[in-house]
Amino acid sequence: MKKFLWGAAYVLTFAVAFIVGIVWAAWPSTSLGGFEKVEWTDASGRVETDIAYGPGPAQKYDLYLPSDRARATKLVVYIHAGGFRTGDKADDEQIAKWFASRGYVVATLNYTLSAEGNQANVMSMSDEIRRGVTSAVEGARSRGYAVDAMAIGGGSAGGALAMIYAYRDADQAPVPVKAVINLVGPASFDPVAWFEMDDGFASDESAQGGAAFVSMMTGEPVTVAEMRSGDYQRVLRPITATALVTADAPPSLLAFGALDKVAPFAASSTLEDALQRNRVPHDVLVFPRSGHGLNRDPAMAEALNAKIGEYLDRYLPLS
Amino acid sequence: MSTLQKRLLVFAILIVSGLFTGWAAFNLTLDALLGGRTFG
Repeated sequence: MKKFLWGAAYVLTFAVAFIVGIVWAAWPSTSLGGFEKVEWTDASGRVETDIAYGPGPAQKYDLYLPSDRARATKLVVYIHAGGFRTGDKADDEQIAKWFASRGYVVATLNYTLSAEGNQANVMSMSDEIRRGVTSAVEGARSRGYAVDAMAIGGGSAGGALAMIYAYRDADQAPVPVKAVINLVGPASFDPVAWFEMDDGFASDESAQGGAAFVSMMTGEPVTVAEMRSGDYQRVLRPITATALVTADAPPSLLAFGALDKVAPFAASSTLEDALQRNRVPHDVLVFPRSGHGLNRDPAMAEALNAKIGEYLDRYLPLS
Repeated sequence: MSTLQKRLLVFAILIVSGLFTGWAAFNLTLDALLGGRTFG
């Protein structure tokens, strides 16, 4: 019996240490993006949830309205992550409160996610975001907030949608788009970069796989012949941030993980060239040891934190 | 070495190895899921 108890104590000790080891590894060394939890009380402002911007069940946004209404003349739109298949605007509550605590009106948007039985794709989601942003500006104004400029940002899928809006749809925005912040959102959906298909789609397997991927992302049917001729690039263009950058693009703060396997960095590595070519003010922070979580480069995370504050102060200043 | 000392040594080894394997398990799982690099 005594031997059994000692054995159990050993096993329990190892199990507890194992769990502590996991917590130790998972404990964030720094708050990525600087979005540390803020104290939010009635004095900070109020939050209105599930404001509709369209008839679809997902077409809703939340508004974070700072109490200092006179100062809150700028809007930050933040779009949630989730690989276009999951996620919710509520996931970014802390981020929204962080922006709002600095004095910005904040809108977090939902969009129709890709699922079995629907045709939602990146193209349709980006169209929803366009409508959602217009509605969010109207919503803020109707509540007495004289919004006259905005920034848009997001993480992963949300970052990709934020870039598409900033580079493709900003000219239709109800207020000038002064900056875009993208955390690990892919700048293109070219299967060559995503899946290292480097055979020019010569094999049926790569051509069919590539066509399926492009069709899934755009909602447009793409043929094997279009993959082989390169015409699929035309289909992808409206959702390819790299191809949408013009000289009028807003200043861009972008962060990527060099080892990202979820949204491969190769899909975004040419974006900096496009921004440079078009003389768009930008900062591209590549975390050399990190993947999609940007969690292995504390010094880079600190730099990103500082840059976000810098972009807000420089491009979206509050009085 | 007394029995007590031996047991304390076993506990110390178990704690250190538990901490390390927990830490490594998390990082390796994260590597597989998200990319990233733990060991060099």
